[in-house]
Amino acid sequence: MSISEILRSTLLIGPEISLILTGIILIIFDPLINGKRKNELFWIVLIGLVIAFLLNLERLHTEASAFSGALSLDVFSGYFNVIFIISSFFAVILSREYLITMNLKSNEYYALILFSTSGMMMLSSAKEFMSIFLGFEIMSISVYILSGFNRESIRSTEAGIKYLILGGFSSAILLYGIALIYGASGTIFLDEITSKFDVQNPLYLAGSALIITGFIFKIGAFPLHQWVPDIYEGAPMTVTGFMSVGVKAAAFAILLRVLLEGVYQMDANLIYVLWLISAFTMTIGNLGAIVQKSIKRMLAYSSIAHAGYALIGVVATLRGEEIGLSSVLYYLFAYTFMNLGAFGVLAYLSRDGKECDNYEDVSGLWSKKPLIAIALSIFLFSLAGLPPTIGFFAKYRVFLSAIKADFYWLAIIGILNSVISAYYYLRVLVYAYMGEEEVKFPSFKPASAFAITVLTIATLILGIFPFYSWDFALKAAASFLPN
Amino acid sequence: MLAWLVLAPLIGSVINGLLFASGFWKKLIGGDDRTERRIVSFVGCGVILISAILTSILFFRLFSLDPIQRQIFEELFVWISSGDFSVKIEFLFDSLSCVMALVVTWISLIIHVFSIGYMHEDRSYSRYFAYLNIFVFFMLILILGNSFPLMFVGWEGVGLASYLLIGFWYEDKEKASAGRKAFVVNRIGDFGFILGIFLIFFIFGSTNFQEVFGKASDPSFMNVVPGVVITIIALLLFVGAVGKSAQFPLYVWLPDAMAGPIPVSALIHAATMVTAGAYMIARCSVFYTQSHTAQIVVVSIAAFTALLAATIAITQNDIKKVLAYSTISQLGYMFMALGVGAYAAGMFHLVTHAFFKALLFLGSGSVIHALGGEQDIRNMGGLRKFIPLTSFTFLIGTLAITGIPFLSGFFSKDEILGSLYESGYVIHWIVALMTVCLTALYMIRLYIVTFEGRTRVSNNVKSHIHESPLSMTIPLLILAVLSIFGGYIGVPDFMGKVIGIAHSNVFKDFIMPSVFVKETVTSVPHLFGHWSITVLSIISAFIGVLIAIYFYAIKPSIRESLIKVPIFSFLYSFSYRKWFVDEAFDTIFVRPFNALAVESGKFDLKRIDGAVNGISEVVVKAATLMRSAQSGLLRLYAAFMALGVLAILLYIIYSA
Repeated sequence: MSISEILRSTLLIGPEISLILTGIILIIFDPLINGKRKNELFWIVLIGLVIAFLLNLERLHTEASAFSGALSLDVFSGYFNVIFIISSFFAVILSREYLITMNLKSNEYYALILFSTSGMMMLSSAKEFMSIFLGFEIMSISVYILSGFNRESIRSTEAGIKYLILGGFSSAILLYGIALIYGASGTIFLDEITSKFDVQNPLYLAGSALIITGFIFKIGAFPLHQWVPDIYEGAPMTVTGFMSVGVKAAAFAILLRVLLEGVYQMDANLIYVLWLISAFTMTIGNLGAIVQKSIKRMLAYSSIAHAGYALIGVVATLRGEEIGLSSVLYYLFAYTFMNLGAFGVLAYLSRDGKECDNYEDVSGLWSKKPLIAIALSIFLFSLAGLPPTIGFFAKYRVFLSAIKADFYWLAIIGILNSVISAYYYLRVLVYAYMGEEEVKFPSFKPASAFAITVLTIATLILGIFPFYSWDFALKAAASFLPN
Repeated sequence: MLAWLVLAPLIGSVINGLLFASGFWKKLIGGDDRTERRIVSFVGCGVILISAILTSILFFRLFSLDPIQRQIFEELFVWISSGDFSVKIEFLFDSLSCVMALVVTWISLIIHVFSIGYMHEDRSYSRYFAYLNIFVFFMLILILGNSFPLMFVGWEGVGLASYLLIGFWYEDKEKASAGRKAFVVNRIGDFGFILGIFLIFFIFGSTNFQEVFGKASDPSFMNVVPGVVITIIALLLFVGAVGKSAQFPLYVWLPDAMAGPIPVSALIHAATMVTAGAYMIARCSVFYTQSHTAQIVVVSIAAFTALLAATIAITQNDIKKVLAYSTISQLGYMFMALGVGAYAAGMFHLVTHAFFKALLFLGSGSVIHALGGEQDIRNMGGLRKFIPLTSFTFLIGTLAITGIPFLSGFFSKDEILGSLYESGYVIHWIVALMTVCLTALYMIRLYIVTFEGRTRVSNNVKSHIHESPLSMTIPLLILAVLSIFGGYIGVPDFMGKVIGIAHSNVFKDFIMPSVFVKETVTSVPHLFGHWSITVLSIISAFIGVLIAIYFYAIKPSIRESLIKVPIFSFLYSFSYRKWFVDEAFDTIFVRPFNALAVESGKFDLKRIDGAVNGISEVVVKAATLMRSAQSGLLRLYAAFMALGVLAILLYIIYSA
């Protein structure tokens, strides 16, 4: 690789660089500033994210290749970067007061979120296995630390360690898969693998199965879902929110890229594996969510279920249904707003070092904090897939893609699951609107309130006028699908 | 501009509903009831004023255009797009919808203002205005929507608003069930309407007004469509109109709908919503004009309804019930005109009726308000001395509806009777003529019993009688002026000639480009000419007036002795019991359906609920079972992971 290629490529990855630089600035300046003013570095984080967002806009209409084809800076990756930046932007805003409430250091935390985001962005554009693995690890290791960020809490520490060990396993599995593929093909570039792929060769089959399993872990889908509830419950609230949308979307991004650009040939069998995974993931997520006593744990199970819904679209895509890909992309986009919003409300309601966790903790919310109660209802309606929210439209598109691809049973299973899910989502609202227990709620938190307001409006407006954002997803999908 | 005119009432409703009726304002800001009510009234009336002003501006803009180009479109966005089926949110402002929109917005404004005084003591003041505003919003969607689905949205929306407002005092079980009755009966009509829309889409491949009506008036297209299909479409749509506009046999909900507050009866159940059926038929004129069968059905049902309701109105003692039956009867007139293809005459009567019927209802509201809730006219009498202004305006309304020459009702009624006769529907014309006489009879009776003679009000109440506040009397005066002069926009041409104006029927000329009419050849020769028809209807009105004055003012004793004669006593109870229609409905529909419902209820409780509960138990059991696998032990998770990876690996390798 020549120097000029490196320079050219470095200019192209502006969004990633701006995040990493912001993270480094935070780490350098944090010890230099003392006292309360440390919190003010928050604004630099936001500026860094906004710059990354603006630089990323370039990717939405041009296509470029960087570092000798290691990264493909296309609309597909640009689309996912929008999701990542939005989710870390709101996670950061929601964290500002949450960190103070929970007595946690802020600047390391923000830096880790930024590093993790840059890893996701790398992952979404990676076209060869070394970059994929690198992005995967940058993203994951930051998140491991974030999960155990609350060192005072046993549960948070436990979550961090559990995640590290199990995540380590999954990375090992992924790496082993990469090694097998490399052994069989002699290359790590996805497009070259496609051309050499041989269904008769067990090395290819085993390799791709292991790679996909590694991604399935990060998605939190069956049969590698068991870590999700424990870790989501233990991690700090805003980290859980960030993980559930950002990490998940990144894992989907790379899963789709590897499936569609790397191992596209082995269609039939992979479809049925993913079909089963999707159906089981939805069902297990929903069944698990029903019996929970903690809202946070319920949302953890619900995020398993949502991974299952999004996988429906992946299955449809593999069958060659064009709308399938855009419906997955759209689903992840929609999920960002509604799930981050739901976690945001819980973060808002956390008080004096104690998280808002159980159903009883939101009891009587409507009579004391009506606006927050309305926001919570909108997020939960959206998660349950009720119109006129964005969640309805996203689910509708996913199910529609399954029907168009002739996977009627998968659509039926999805719809039945959706019905089950209404029970546990709306149960939160029963407590919030009709609960009579005396619960103390925190006083007004401006930053979180701002984030929740924006997320609420987005959940509603994008649900009522879905077509503009849908066109965006269509565009991203069209630029990516092999013709 | 069209969009804002429609949206303004919705915004008002959202503010009044979500901010005030929900108690949100109190929670967030607090403040006393008085300021809150002031804001509610200001918002509630303000948004209607905006709509009304915008409508008027658009009216002038429309009027300045060339008659054949009088159409203003405004497209907002594509609402539904699915295969061949696509519906745009698009509004159409032509002369037909312009007339309706003017009536709806301005009458609504007057009635909103009236409501400020009438409802001032009600606990749910803000809820009332939220409902009233949402009604106007849906009514405007109905009128201005440029496709059948959009019209249907408005159609259902006004039904919803009507249901909510009839059952406004829902703590009273009887009133709540009146709301339910209106809703259920209307469903029957709506079912017909929506079937009609399906058939239209099936035949014409579109639901947009321009495309459908364009094809329907195109002879080359219509040659391939069997005539019977057009008749079926026309009749299905008419079923919808019968429900909404309270024609026989679906009129039974309207008298019960009087359970709502009076301004609601005036606005929804007299001036605007119930006329939606007439508007819809005028809009779909192309189907009716081309189907003689449908026309005969419409005219016959309308004539029968007009006569039936008029005979019932004579003996009712509840002031609102009399007016309700009168509304049904007057709607019958409108449909008679529409049925013979005299769309302009029907629409004209719609407009004048909106004036005088709103006046009468609001007048009766003022009476009821003064008497502290009394509605039985037997407990009234002699009220003219106590509430002179109300009594005077009520008299104007009475004379207008009676068809006394040169008031508004006279011109519109004369148009209808004339068109009936000229189109050859002589029997229907005679029925209409009889109804004119009956109308005069029951209206003058109502006026005399309520306002004239010795008072029968108890002393207790008498001391409290007071004229209503300005916010109520000013609307009465405005409506009275409209009831007197409102008819001059449509003076029939032959009358205009006498005073030397060639085209005096401005209204007709304005409406005609929006409706589809065929050049008809009059089959009945002009035996009398226009004037003689007019004179006949004046005579029959005066006969009714004289009978009423004789029996109720001059010689009430004769009436009492007449009632004792068997034949009259039978006729009296036949009318008083409303032709036993309610009883018949009860035996034919209500009781069997109730029995069926009770049985289904039992089945539902035992079998269906049993099955549902069974399923939910299974789900919970499965969930609990699954939970036991979630032990929290790291090594167990790692083992599960390994198993999962192994399973996927084996499947992929062995199925290849």
